[in-house]
Amino acid sequence: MDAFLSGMSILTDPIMLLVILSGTLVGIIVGALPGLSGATTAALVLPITVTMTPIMGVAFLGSLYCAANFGGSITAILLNAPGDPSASATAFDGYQMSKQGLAGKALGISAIASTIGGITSVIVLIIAAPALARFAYEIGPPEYFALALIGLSMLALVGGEGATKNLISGAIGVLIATVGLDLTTGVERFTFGIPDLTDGVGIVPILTGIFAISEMFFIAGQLHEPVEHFKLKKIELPTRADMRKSAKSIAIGSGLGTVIGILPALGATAAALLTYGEVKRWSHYKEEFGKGAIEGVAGPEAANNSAVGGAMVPTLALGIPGSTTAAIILAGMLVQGIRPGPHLFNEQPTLLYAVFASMLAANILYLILGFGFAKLFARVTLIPAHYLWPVVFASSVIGAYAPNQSMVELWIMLGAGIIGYMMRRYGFSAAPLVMGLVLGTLVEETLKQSLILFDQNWLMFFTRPIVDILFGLLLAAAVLPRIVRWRRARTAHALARSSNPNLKEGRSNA
Amino acid sequence: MSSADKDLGAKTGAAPGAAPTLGLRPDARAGLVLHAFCAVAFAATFTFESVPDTLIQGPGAAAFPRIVIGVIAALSIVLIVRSGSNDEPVEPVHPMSMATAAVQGLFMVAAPFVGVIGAIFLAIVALGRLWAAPRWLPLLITAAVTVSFVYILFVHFLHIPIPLGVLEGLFG
Repeated sequence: MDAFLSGMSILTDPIMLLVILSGTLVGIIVGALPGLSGATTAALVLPITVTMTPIMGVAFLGSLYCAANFGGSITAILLNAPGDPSASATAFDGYQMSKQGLAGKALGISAIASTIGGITSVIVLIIAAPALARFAYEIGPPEYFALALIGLSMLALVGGEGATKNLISGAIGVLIATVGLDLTTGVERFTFGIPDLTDGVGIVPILTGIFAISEMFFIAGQLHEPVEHFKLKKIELPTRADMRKSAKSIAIGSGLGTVIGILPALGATAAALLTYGEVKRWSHYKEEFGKGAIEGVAGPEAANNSAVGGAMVPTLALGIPGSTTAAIILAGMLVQGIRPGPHLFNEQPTLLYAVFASMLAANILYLILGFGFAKLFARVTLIPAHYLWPVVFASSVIGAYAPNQSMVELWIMLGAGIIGYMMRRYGFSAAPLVMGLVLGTLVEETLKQSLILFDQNWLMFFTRPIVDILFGLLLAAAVLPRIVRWRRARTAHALARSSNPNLKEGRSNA
Repeated sequence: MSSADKDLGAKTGAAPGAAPTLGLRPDARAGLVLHAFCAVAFAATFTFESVPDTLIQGPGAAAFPRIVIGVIAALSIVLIVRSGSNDEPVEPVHPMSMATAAVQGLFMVAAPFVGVIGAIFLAIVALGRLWAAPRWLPLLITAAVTVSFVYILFVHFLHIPIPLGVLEGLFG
C-alpha cells in the first residue's frame, strides 16, 4: 500500500506532471501525423528518455503510448489515413461520419471511448500485473523460454496467410539479437571484426530504421497522391442518445481490448480490428456499419486504448512485451538498467505504481486536451511532407547516433530502413522482427539455462506442467484458426454446391 | 510494355513496369533471397572463435544462431513451396524512394567530413527540395531551427558530443 501511495504521489510533483503532459502532447501530435506511429516516436525519443530518471523516462514513454492511439483517430476520422495503425478500424466509420459533416461528433465519441477504455485497462493493469508477477515468481527458465516462444509466435500465428512471413520476420529479429559477445563463452558472433558490434547491434538504430526510415521511403513514393481533408469546426460532446447507443460497443471494446492486450505480442491494432467485427455482430444497427456508425468509432477506440494497459501487464510482470510499442518501452527500460519481471514488484514497486499513475493521468489529460485543442491537433495533419519528413530523418539520425556516438550505428539505421522497406514490399511485417529483437536474448538465455538444468536433455521440457500447458496453447493457436478456415471453406463449398447442383459436373466438363 | 511482358507479369505476380523477376513469383523470390542470406549467415558461424569443450557449459556459441538460421531456412522453403498465383503483386520501387535513399546514403558519406550537425542541415535542405518543397526560405528556416534544437538539447544540455563539423565556428 505504501508503494502504491508513493507511486501515485508522482501526480503531485509538478515536474512529473510536466513530463506526463509532454508525453501526452507528443503522443497526440505524432499519433495524428500519418506515418508517424506511437512505436516510431517511442523509438525516436528513446535516447532522450535515457537522460531522464527511470521513473520520468518510463512515465514519458507510457503517456506517449496512451495518447498516440487517440491521436491516430484524428487523422483516421478527418483524412481516412490512420495516423497510428491502431486507428485503422476507426477510419471505417469515422471517415464516413466526417463526409456527413459529423467529424466533431466522431472525434468527441472517440475521445470519450478512448478514455473509458484506457482507464479500464489501467485498473486491470494495477490488479493483474502484481498477481501475474506473483505467479511468475514460481516459474523457472523453461517456463520463461515457453512464454518467450509464445510471445514470438502469437503475432505470427494470428497473421493467417501471412503467418509464415511473420515467423520468418520474428526469427530474423532473434538472429540479429545474437550479434555481439556470447555471454556464456565470451565468443564474438557476427561482428566481422567491427568493434562497435561487440556489444551487439543497438536496438535504437534498428527501430528507427525499420519504422521511421522505411516509412519515409514509402511516403516518398506516394507524394503526389491526392488526400481529401475534412475541416473540423469543433469537437462535440456525445449526446445522451449517442452514449446510450455506444455504451455496449465501449464495453465490448474495453473488455476485448484489455484481454487482447494482455496476450503477448497482440497489441492495439489487432484489438481494434477484432472489436470492430464483434461490435458489428452484436449491434442492433448492423446496416449503419461502414456508412458512419457511431458504434463503429466507439468500439475500436475503446479497444485500442484498453489494449495499451493490457499490453503493459505481461511487459511489466514477465518482461515479455504485449505489443510492439510495449517492446520499445521494454527496450527503454533495459537501457535505463531496469529489467522488467516479477522481481521488479519487490525491488522497485514505487517505479511500477508511478508507471500506472502516469498512464492514468495520460488518459485523463488527452481527454481534456482533446476537447480543448482538437482543432489545433487537426491542423497538425496539414504539415506538408516536404518539411515534416526531413525533420523526422534528422530525429532518426540523432536518435541512432546519440546513445553510442557511433557512425556504424547510422549505417545500421540506414540498412535497417532499406531492409524494412523491402520486407514490407514483400509482405513481411516489422512488428514480429521487433519482438524477436527484444525477446531474442531472453529466448537464448532461458534455453541455455534450461538445457543446463536438464543436463542437455531436450525432452525434459515436457516434464514441466506449465511448459506443457504453454506449448499446448501455442499448438492450439497454430492449429485452431486453420481448422476454422477449413470448416468455413467446406461449408461455403457445400452451400455453393446445394444452390447449383451442376457445379461439380460443370467443373469437370471444363 | 509488350503484351508478352504483361503476360509474364501476370504469371509471376510482378506489377506492370516491375524490374525483371526471372520468372519467379514474389514469395518464391523472397524465399530464395532468404536462403542465400541463411547460407551466408550459416557460413559465418564457422568463423566464430572456438572454445575448448571443457570450458563450454551447455550448447556452444554457434549452436543457437544455427538453430535460428535453420528455422528461417525451413520457413523459407514453406514460402517457396506455397508461392502461387495468390501472391500479392509487388510494385516496382518508386524512383523517388530510390532518390531519397541515395540522399540518405550521401548524408552517411558526408557526415564524417562536414560533421553530423552540418550534414543534418544539408540533408533537410536536400530532402526538402527533392520532395518538391516550393520555396527555399521556409526550408532553410526549418533546417536551421532543427539544427539549433538538436544542438541546444543534445550538445548543450545533455552534453552528448555530436561533431559540429563546418558549423564548429558558428556554435563553438
